[in-house]
Amino acid sequence: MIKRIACIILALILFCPGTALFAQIQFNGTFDAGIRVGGGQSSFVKNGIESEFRRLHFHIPQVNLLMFAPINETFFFEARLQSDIWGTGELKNPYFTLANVTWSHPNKNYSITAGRYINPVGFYSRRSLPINRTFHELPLTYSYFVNISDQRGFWPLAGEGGSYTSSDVGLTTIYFGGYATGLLFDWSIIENKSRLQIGLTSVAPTSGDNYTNLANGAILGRLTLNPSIKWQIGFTGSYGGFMQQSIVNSSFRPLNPLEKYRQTLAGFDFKYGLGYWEIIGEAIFSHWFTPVYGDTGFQTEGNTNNFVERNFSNLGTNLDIRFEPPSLTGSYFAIRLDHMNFIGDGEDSNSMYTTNDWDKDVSRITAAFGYKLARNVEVKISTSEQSPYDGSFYTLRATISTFF
Amino acid sequence: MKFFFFAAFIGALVMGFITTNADFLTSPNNNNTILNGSTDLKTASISGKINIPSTQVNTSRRFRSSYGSRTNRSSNSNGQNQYLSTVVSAHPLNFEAPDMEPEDSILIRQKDAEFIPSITPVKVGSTVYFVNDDPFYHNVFSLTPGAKFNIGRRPTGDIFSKEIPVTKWRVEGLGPISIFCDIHSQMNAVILSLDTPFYSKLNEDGSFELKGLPAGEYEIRVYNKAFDLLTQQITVKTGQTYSVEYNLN
Repeated sequence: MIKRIACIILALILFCPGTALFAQIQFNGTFDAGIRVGGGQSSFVKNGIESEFRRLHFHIPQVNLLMFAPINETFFFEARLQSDIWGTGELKNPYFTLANVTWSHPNKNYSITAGRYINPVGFYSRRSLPINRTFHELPLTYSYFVNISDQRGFWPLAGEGGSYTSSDVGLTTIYFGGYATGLLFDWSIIENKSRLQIGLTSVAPTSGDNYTNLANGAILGRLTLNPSIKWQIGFTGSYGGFMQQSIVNSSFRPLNPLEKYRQTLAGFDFKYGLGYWEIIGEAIFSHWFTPVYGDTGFQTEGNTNNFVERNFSNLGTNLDIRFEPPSLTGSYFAIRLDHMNFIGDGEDSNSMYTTNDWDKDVSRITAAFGYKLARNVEVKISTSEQSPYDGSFYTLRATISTFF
Repeated sequence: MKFFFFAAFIGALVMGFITTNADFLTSPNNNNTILNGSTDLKTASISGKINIPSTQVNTSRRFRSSYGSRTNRSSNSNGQNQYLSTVVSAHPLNFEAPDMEPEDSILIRQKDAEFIPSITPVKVGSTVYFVNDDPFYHNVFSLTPGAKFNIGRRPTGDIFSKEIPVTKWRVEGLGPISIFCDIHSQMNAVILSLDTPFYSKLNEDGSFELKGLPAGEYEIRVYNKAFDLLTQQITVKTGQTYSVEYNLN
């Protein structure tokens, strides 16, 4: 009890009087509430709706507290304290999804960030606040869990029967939360024309974990170009380890250093805007070098404990079209076409592959309508259907999103 | 530890709200008008000063924060001299306001991701022109009831020496019309649509002067979007200059 009271007092001292003691500290927040329903086969790793919560119900998808604190003219700190329902369907205790300190000199066109920051890889990583999104869900590249686990490697069960809450499940191609931990160099090469971001982290951008217990390393990068006012083009890429040590794999590590298993990402995205129209497209290619995990555990070669190793690839593409009818001020209609292509179904006649594909191609179509009730209050309705288009994975979501 | 986060989360939300709204709890304290002297024999004038309490001002720098414009407050609303964002107007009470011919040369610029000026007083029915002076897209939209509009994404005003026609919008409603840029969330400004030709923005020191007022009864209104609207009644006679001083709270 004393610990709890101490924690509460400490929290109040640090956060509550901040607005009074440090006049420049700025707090903002977001809050969302809504209803949703999903098809009979719904699962968080497939269509973002947990099986247990697939029936029509009210929910609070996310609450965020954002803090921005200039330290002086060159340093600032920022943080995001988030409570969400990811994976469980129930609102979790708040946790820090972003916390970093940034050096940004007023006369320099570059900055350096240390801590947990927005992942430069991918277009949608920077749209992590619900009110900034046209659709409720992110594209398949960020939301569909493939059959690769950060503890077991290729594991056909990962994307099928995996439960996100068990922390032993497939990975999304790019972490759906949109964050990475490490260092970030952000260089505005030509103001408003070209920008380069390079990040160093200890895990590939597929993982949302803050740390790894391996000597992993990863490099991330994004080059953004604005060739004209109508166009924004992005090139993005990364290379790094994606596995973590766990009880599942620890006994194999001496002969099989997990650090050598890597994810390589390469992507291209664009945004085109004109009048009341906005079109966004993205293609992300991911290559995985991974061990193989089957019904009997890690697949090994010969009489040794050396892992069977395989290469897998997938390509995620999406196209978003958004129109804001001028006759209905504050509203928009949008449609998203989404596809995830899994390249190759296995590489040899091993029974593992004859019975288990790398994964099955997935496509999804999403339609959305949004309406601003006020400047920072928006109602959003979206519905999606995905392969095999039999209603088993459909979703319908309606929320009110606020920013304050 | 989870109690720490939870308490911090709830506490900061609650205390932030209370702190933000505390300014509105204080009571007004305004001086009465004072008869001062003579001026144009056919009309009267009102001059004076508005006192605005100093408010919290953000850092002078605009950092590139992770959430971009959402968590980067605009100097339009926070860093700028509050006097320049204040309008004084005199509204006739016992006669029809003269010279209500709409204006057609009012310009609002979008420069460095800000609206310039942050407040624009106009006569109702006037036409306002919006110009994007930035090398990136802006739009202008309003959700104010009776004055909703959205001009969509607008390019830079001048590209390769080819003049792009500026977007114009006719002001129909009365009162403050809040305008925003949907692309840069921190951008906001106000068009103050008035049913009187007698209005003025404050000078940097809070002083103002309203000239050419016909004799009669007026309601003086002082508008600043950060404060409650201040209203005072005054009767003026021709050939007189009146000096007033008001406090915004």
